[in-house]
Amino acid sequence: MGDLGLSRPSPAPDPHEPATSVDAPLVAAARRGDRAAFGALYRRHARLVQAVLLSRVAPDSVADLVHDVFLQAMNRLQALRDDSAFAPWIATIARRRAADWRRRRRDTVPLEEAMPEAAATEVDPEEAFDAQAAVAAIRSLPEAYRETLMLRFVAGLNGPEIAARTGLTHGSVRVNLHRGVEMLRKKLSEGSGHA
Amino acid sequence: MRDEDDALFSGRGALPEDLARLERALSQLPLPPEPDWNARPRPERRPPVFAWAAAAAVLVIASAALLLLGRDAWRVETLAGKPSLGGVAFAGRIALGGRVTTDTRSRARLDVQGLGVVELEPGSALRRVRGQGPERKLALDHGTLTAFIQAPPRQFVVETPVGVATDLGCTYTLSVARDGRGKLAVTLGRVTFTHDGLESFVPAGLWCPLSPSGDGVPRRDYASDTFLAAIATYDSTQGDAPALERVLETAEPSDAITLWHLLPRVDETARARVAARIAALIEVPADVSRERVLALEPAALDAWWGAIGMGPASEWRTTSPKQALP
Repeated sequence: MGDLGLSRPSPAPDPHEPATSVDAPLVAAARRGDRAAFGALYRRHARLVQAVLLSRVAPDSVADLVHDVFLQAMNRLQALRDDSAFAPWIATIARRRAADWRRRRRDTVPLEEAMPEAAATEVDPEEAFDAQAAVAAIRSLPEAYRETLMLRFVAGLNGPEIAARTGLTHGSVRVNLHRGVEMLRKKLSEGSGHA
Repeated sequence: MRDEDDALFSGRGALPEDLARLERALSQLPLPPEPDWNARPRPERRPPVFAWAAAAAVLVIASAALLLLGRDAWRVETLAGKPSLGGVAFAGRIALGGRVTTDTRSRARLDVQGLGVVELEPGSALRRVRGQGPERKLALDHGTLTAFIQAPPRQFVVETPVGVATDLGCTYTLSVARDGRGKLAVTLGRVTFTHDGLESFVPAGLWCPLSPSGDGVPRRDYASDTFLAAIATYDSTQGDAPALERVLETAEPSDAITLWHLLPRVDETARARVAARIAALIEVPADVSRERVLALEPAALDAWWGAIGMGPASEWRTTSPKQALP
């Protein structure tokens, strides 16, 4: 699989753990300078940030931008008013960082250049191909569906969790998921035939 | 469909095989290695003597700022060039009555306290004005802004010379030139745009042109070229009959949202044509008579909106629908 600009797997957080109750004490501790607490926030929400970025920027830039987003968050933690709202807050930082990236690259980088060559990994080669093709196909969908699908399949969030992190209604998330999947299936069947 | 019946939405139960495979593949994408957070520099700690002096200075400055600006001045950050602050502004912040202007090389970021940020592009003029109740309100006199808002619906409002954009939780770009022409494009979430009692509902993936006479109907980014050309002609001819016919001919089911917005904007004869085309493109509620829609009865319009699949109209409305002129 193409490594999508990222170098090694880290343990994924459990996305179904109630974010608000767990995040608040971690944010409070991180604000007091507890770097281990900030590390815990990173491990809990890196997938979310990765998904938001993958829907907006070239995949080979995602790893650097994930770090940028968390560094910005660390430096601006004092500005977060509701400690339990860390997840939507860092998702907003990620969207803004992606907008900056796109503004800077707009005239110089074609969208397709970003997908890296496949690299040897421990992941099953067929599924790795699926991941690369799926990321490319999702990125070719209308903007409204990209982030919802990435949050669903990359970050492993369910509909209500996506709604909580994006400000969309449950109805809109459901529509985006179903229409997006429908279009994705069409794209993937037109392309390599995998999915 | 109920949540528990929908594994894609609820995350519970088995997904179809192709989606399960997709989920397995994408959930294994590697994450970047975690940085060594302890290696990041910590903020410098000043000796206590300086800390006391600094605290006293901050207290004096903060008191002066509070007196001058009120309690909720919003921070303005330079992104490029030299944006300028005017009106009620102090120490890089603006309060009610403050303004930010950017020249052709400047960009600025405004921290909308507690709600998100607004980025102001070159050649723009933005003022902070009083909103109603909890509303945070800006006035974009001319130029372009992008709003990244994470807030409950209807708390962030931007007025322009040609109408008012009300945030329902989203990211959007709003531009308006000095002649009143412009564009509202929504990339995430939803925005309503109101002009003279007519309200447009603009979800992510749609945009609408703005003009001195208000807003054009929202249209999808990915509508067919023929439909986009037809609706542009309709805008430029201010709604003549052949242009409307071309819009109706080229509309696809996913353009029903555009046609729905035409209903209160056209005369009765044209409205019947538009309603018939919507009913041909999507499944409209059988228990809502066509006559009620043609009479622009709010409940009937809302029921048809519900059939488009963008959530109930009650989630959107900030005003009551207005009867179009005969």
